[in-house]
Amino acid sequence: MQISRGVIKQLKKIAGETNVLTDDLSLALYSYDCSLSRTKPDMAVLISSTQVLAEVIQILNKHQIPFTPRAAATNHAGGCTTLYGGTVLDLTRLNHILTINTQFQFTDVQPGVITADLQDQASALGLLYAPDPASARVCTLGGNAAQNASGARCMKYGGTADYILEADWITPTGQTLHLDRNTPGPDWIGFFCGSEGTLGIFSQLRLKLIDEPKHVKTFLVTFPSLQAGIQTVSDLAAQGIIPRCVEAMDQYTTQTVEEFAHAGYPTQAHALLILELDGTPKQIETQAARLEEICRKNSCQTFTAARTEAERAKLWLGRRAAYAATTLTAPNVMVGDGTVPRSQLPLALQKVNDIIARYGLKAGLLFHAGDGNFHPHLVFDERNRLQASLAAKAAKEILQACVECGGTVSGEHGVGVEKRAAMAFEYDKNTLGFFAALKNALDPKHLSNPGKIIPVDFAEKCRPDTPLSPAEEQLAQEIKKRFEQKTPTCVAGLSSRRKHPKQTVLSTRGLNQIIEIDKTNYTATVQAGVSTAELAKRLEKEGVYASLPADKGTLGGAFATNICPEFSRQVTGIKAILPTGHLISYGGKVMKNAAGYNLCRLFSGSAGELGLITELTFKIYATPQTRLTLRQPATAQWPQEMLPVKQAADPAFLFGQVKKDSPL
Amino acid sequence: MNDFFSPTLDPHHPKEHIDALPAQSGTRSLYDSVCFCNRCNMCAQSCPTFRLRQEEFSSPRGRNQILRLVLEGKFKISAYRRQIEQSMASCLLCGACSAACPGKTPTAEHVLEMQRALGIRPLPFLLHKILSWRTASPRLFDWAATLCRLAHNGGAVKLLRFSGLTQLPFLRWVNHADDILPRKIIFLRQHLKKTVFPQNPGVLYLPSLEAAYLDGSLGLSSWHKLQEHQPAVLFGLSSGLFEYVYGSLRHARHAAQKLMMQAGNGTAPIVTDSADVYFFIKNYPRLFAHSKVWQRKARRLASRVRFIADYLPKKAKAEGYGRVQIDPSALFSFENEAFEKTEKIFRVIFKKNLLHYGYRDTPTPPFGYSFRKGNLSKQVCFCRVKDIARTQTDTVFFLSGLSALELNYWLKKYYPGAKAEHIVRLNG
Repeated sequence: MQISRGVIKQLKKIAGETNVLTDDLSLALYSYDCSLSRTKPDMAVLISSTQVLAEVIQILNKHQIPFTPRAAATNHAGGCTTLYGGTVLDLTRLNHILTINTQFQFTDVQPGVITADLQDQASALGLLYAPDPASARVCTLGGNAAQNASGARCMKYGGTADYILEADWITPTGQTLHLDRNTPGPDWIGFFCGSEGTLGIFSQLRLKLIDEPKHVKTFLVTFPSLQAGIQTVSDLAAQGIIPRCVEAMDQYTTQTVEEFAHAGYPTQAHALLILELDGTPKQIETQAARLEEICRKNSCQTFTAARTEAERAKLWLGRRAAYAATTLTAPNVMVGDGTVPRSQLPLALQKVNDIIARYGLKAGLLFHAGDGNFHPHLVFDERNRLQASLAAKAAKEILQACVECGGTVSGEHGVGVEKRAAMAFEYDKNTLGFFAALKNALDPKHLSNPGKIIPVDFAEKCRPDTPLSPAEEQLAQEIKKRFEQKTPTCVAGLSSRRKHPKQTVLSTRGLNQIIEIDKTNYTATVQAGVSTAELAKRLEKEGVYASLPADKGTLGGAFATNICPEFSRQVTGIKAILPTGHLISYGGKVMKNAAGYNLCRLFSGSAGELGLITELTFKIYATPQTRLTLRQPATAQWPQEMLPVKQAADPAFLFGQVKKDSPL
Repeated sequence: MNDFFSPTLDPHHPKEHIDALPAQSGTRSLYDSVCFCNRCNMCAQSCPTFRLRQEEFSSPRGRNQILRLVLEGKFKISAYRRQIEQSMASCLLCGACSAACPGKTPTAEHVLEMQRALGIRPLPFLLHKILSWRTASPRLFDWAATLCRLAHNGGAVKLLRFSGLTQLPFLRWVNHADDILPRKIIFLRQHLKKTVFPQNPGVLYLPSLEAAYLDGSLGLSSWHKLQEHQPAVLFGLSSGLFEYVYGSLRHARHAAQKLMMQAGNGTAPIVTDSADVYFFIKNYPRLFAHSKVWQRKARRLASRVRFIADYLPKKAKAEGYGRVQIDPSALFSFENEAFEKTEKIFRVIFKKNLLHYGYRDTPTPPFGYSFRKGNLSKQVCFCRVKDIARTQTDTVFFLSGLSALELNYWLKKYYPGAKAEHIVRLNG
């Protein structure tokens, strides 16, 4: 695409003469990231302040020039490449940590700050910024937020989305919005987090810091089979022991790593776990004893605890060197990022190994066992076209295998362009259509990182529609009827939290099934109309607990009104019927999901404005969850700028109270 | 690795290029080596120029990709000479990126290869000329060095500066040279004038340029350290490192051959006080990939070379140094074991007072950089001084004398509480 001289002149005036690059060689250096995707942009703008960023976007929007944000460009899925040309916005210079507040434990940062820099600075003050992607030394916080990156500590501490308290968000039109987690309404921050720059750009973040645990203990445990190792992880979760890290390796990877790093790993074992506990010495001691007991029960071969800091460093040496060990064997490494329910890990790994063997490729297999997230490192030489195409095919089949195991195509790396086609394995037409509608709503000109996440021609290639239960079918028919008749509707459960006019109520009482309590994976799948009190009783009977207050209302109501933010954050899967009568399904029993827009966060606090929630899947625990914050039931509050989202879900503005001309 | 396509950078002058670049096991061709950069960007934050400029052009990944694009014929050097030169010339050649790289891609070597294709990597003309005489015409070099010493010690340089003549473009380098050099230059051979060298030495001492000609006392310290172990003899030849970095590969090979001939077939270890010379000699075999005979000789010599850290006292007094850091800055030196050996010794001596040198610590520009890229070098040094001030380091120990001279100047200017020393100065 040809960018006119006038636009370049205007941009130079705003960004600085030397910060607008248009020559071929410079642009070639902005055509790649860590994936195989390479497309040359038409212009690159080096951004020096958040104000400049907003102004530049305004100009690009005015002239309908696509733009792609890029910082460290460490993305493994082609998220930073400009698929349709346009402009690369280089945010690396927005690298200032503005404040670290030790009293209220938060920090204000610009998006180009290196993750490890913040971790180091917080650590010096006795605080911890918990998300720790493996590339923390080079990746940026803005990139982490765009991908909802997590890392080894995710099982205990969660991902980036859980740590953003407030944010400045620049819309594709260049308008800056201030988003706050405490504002009633949908969790906009959680929704935008992981949107890979396709809906706008984070220009400033307020991140939560926590007290840094002073004591950490690391263990190396080996097992005769992978199943035994995974069972151990499930048993740990069942016992309420949530280690800070649970990293695992199969035998082939252990042998490769040991040959390279000499970390002292036993190469005879079929599975190896690195577990790390943190807390007070007493907590660690108690948990370590139970940990050993569980490992022994699952017939572990060796159980080694690091006694000194040097021993601990040695235990981590191999795990950290795993990527290096594979990069030395071939020029290119395709790092996969499938995630499956924890209980499905052995089956998924078996399938992955079969695929790798079938294609005659070499691969290391590493996984964050606590989250069911695994990273096959496929090694190949991109110059050898046959090998490169085999690797690409194998990677695609691996993602398909993950979906077959009830998983997702991305746990933390995002979809970008390379996994775009694989989205059709995971989502049906309605859900992908809803993603596309959301993108259209917030970026109607398709300028912000266009062409990412949503597959092309998905209607023909995507998986069959998610089947509806009889109760869902009945509700869907009713909603379709109301949509055709343009009948205003209010979704209600037991009407315990909010009162609605009787003639408009659409009740979820028929959705009263507790579908599954999975004690291997530690998730429960429950229909929205089940009352929270009844659910709590049933869970207690099963010996498990959820972060849920046992009040009078329904589960769906608790989620939609966001009365307990802790519970909303534990929801990993959602099914909902849109006001048009289409059923959408997002997530499931996976502990993390970076594929597509995070609908769990969008529907939490949406107060029935976006549709009727039919089913939720959420995390459960072996011990009662005591630290719950209770809030007043949220009434949806919609800023004017977010009205298109409401319109994408509910084109006729039939559901809820938000109207086209009068946002609340 | 690749049997289909193996381009060369400069097909008309193959002998001016090395086609055996270092890899974890053995060597690789230039194209293979550059293709092992998988653009993961793990190197970025360890590169001082990227951290200063925050642009892809100044990052190791960017430099590797430029080289790859040129090798693949997607860009012609002639069309983008100025930009390519800027990107390559800004590289410190410190090797910090290779240390951070999971695949250990030798970016500094790639930059040098590109420099050779672009033409030489020149220092200011007069300085370049004098230094190139060290191999080409040792007597002329001696004469010129003596003249410079007399001018410096006799105050002529100060007079020159006072007169404003050093503002002339071809003499501007004199200012910085005068700034970083010790107040009085004494050659090492002046110190050892009365020394009688043994007939059968246990060790051959190969002093670096700075130890032999700029700071004789550094050479003398090394000499005494060696004498405590075995009778030593002075082996004052050029290793060819200057030619390797700033001159032609032909001259570097010639210097290396001269050194190998002089060293003969003996078994006495050859000890040097400079980590970059040590690393360069260790890599001699790569220079002679085209000749089996010379490669065999190069391997033999490489097996004899030692770094002065092997001769440091294992028990030394830690008093008077305060908080200590070892700066591994030297050409390509991040990957050699010299640093690890030194750190091991210093850990025993200084215990908790030895501060860790992290991947985010800025390296000190190695030899010659400040004469080529004055402004950038100043900024890098300033960042280094800030790192030192931030960690409240009192003494920074170096593995290379020139880096110590460079940093000492900036420390005196901005943070006089700290000082830079070569490791051989430990306890005198």
